[in-house]
Amino acid sequence: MTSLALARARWLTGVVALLAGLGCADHDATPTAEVAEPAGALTEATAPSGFPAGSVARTAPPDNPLTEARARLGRRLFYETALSRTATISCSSCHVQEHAFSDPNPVSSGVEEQQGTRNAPALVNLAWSQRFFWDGRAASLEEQAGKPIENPIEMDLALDDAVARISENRSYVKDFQAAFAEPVTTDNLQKAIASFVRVLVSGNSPYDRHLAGDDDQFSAAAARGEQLFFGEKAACFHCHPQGALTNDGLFNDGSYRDGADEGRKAVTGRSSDLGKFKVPGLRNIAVSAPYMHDGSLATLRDVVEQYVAGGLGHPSTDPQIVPLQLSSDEIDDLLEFLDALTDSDFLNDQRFRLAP
Amino acid sequence: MRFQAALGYVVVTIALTGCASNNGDPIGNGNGVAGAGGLAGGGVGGSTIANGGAGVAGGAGAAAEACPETRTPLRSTGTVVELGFAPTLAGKPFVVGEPNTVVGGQISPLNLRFYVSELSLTAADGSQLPVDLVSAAGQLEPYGVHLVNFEEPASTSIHVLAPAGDYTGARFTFGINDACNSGDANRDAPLSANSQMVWPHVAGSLFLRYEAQWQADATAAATAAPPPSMIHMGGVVGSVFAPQATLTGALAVPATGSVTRTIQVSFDEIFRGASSSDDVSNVPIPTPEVIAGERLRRAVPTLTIFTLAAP
Repeated sequence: MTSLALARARWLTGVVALLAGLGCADHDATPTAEVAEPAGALTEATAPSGFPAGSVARTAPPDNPLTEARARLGRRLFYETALSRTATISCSSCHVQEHAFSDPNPVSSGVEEQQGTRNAPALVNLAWSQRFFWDGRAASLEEQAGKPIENPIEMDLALDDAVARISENRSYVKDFQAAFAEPVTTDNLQKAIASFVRVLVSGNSPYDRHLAGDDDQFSAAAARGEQLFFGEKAACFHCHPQGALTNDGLFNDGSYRDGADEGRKAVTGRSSDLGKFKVPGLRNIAVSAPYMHDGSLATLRDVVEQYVAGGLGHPSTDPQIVPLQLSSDEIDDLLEFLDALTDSDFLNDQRFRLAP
Repeated sequence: MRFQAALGYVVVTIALTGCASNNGDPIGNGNGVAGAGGLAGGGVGGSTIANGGAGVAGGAGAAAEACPETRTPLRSTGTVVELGFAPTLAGKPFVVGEPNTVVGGQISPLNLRFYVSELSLTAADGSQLPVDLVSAAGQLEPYGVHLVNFEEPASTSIHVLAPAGDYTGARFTFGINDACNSGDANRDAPLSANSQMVWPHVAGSLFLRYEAQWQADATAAATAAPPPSMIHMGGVVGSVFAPQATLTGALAVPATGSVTRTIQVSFDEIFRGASSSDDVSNVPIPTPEVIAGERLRRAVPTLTIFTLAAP
C-alpha cells in the first residue's frame, strides 16, 4: 500500500469510527503515515530586534544543531496524536497557533479529559530562553520537550512507548535517519520537537516595525502606552525589558494565594521561591488569553488591573510589585501597546502547520 | 585543477591569519571581520585592565570592539583557582532563598546577582597581575565577564587561571567596564537581557541586583530601620562606572593542582554602603533601590565587602 493509500485508509477508519458513535474512545495509535508539508524553510528565522544577534540556529545547543530536517521532523511530531497514550492529543492540542501556541482554556485537558493546574504557555521566541515551564524546571527545550508526553495528566505516554510507536512507521524512521542518521530514540525524539519549537520566532508586530521606524500601524495611544510600559509609572519593563520583553526570570508577581500552586518553590524547596513563576515574553500576548500561570485572569485588562492594585496582597509578593497610580486612560493606552505586540504573520505562518 | 589550487591557497592564508591572531571565534558567528575587530579590541581591553578598568577611552565606534565576546587569553597556562562567593551577615552565613534572622526581624533574599570582571591578583610588592576569568572547564568567560547568580549555584564561583605565587589579595571590577556596559541587549550571556541585569532607566547595565523580603518581628519595637530590601547598583555609559572592589586575604597558588577558596561577601558592609547618607539626588530615577545602589557604588572603594576565608 502506498503511503497515500495508507493515509486515506486511516482517514476512512476515523470516519467509520465516528459514524459508529465510537468518538474519541477508540483511536488508532498508529502514527500519521505520511504528511504533506508546507513549503518554506523553517530554520531561516533571524533574531528580532533587541534579541541576541544572529540566526535562530545560533541558539541551538552544540549537541542538537538546528537543521531543516530536524525542525521539519519536529513539526510533524508536534502535530502527532500518537504521542499521547490514547492517541487523541498532540502538542498542538494545547499549543494552538492562532493563540500564539497557547491554550485558550485556563488549564489544559490531558488524556481522558484530565485537567491540569496551569495554563499552557505560549510558544514564542523560546529559542532565547534558558528555562522552561512556568516553574523553570527544565533547562533546555530538549529537556522540556519530552515531559508533557510523559506527564500522567497530559499525554501520559512513556517516552520508550512513544519511540516504539513512532518506530512502527517507516516514513518516520526515514525522517529520523535523515535528521539524525540513526533510528528513533527518546533522545532524538525530544531533540526534533525542540528544534521545531526553537524556530517559532515572532518579530514582526506593529511594535517591532515601530522599532524599525515604521509607525503605520503603531497608534498614538500605543506610543503613549509604550512610554508608560518602559517608564517608572507602570514599570512593566523591570521584568519585561525592551527586546525580548522578558528577563526570563522567576518572580512572585502578586498572583499567589495561600494554599495555591507554589510554583518555583516546589522545584527548589527554597522558601523564598514561593509563588515564583516564569516571566513570559509578551509578543502576541493579546491572543494568548487567559493569563497568569493558572489562567485565572480572562483578559489583559484584568492583568493590568491586578498589577495596578499591587497584586493580591500575599506577603510573599516580590517587593518590586507595588500599587501603581494609573488613570483609566493610561490603562487604555497600555492595552493599546500590548495589542501592538500581535504579530499576525506569526499567527498565520503556514510553515508552522501541517498541510490538511 | 588550477582553480582548486588557487582556492586552497586562499583558504590556507586565511587559516594562518586566524591561527596567528589566536582568534577562534568558537561561538559560531561565522563573521571573520567581527572576530578580527574583537581581537583588536582585546588589546585595548588588556591595557584597560592594567589601568583599573573603569574608564575605557574611545568613542562609540570603538566601544563594540573594546568588549569582544571572544578575547585573547592573557596566558595559556596556570593553576585554576576557584573562588566561591558566600554571603555573610553579622558573622553568620546570609542564606539566599531562606529567612535569615537578624535584630528586629527576618530577611529573605529573593534575588542576588552581580558581575565580576577584570580581576587581577595583588603581588607581595603591591603590583597587580591581571588574570583570565575562565569557566570551571577552563574556557575563557565570554566578554571576560562572570555573572554571579544565586539562583544558579554553579555560577556562584569564579575561576581564574593564575601563575604560581603568593598573593596578598586581588582587585576586580564589581560590575562590567564601560565598553561592555552599552545597554545592548543584543549580546549573549552573561550580558543578555536574560541576565536580569538590564538597566532600563538609562543606557547601561546593572552591576549588582539584590531584592529581599523583610518580615519584622511582631514583638520587636520598631527601633532601627531595617536594611534596604532592594539595591540596584548600576552604571551609566560614559559617566557612571563600575567600582573597583578589593579582595582581602592571602592567596597561595601552587604550580600544580588546583585551589578552591571561599570569598566571604559581607552584607553588613553592603548594607552600610547602601544606607549611607551620601547625597545621590542626581541619580537618573530616584527610586529607593536606585538610590541605595548608587550609595553602595560610591562607597565600594571604602568598604571591606570581599574577604578570603581561611583555607
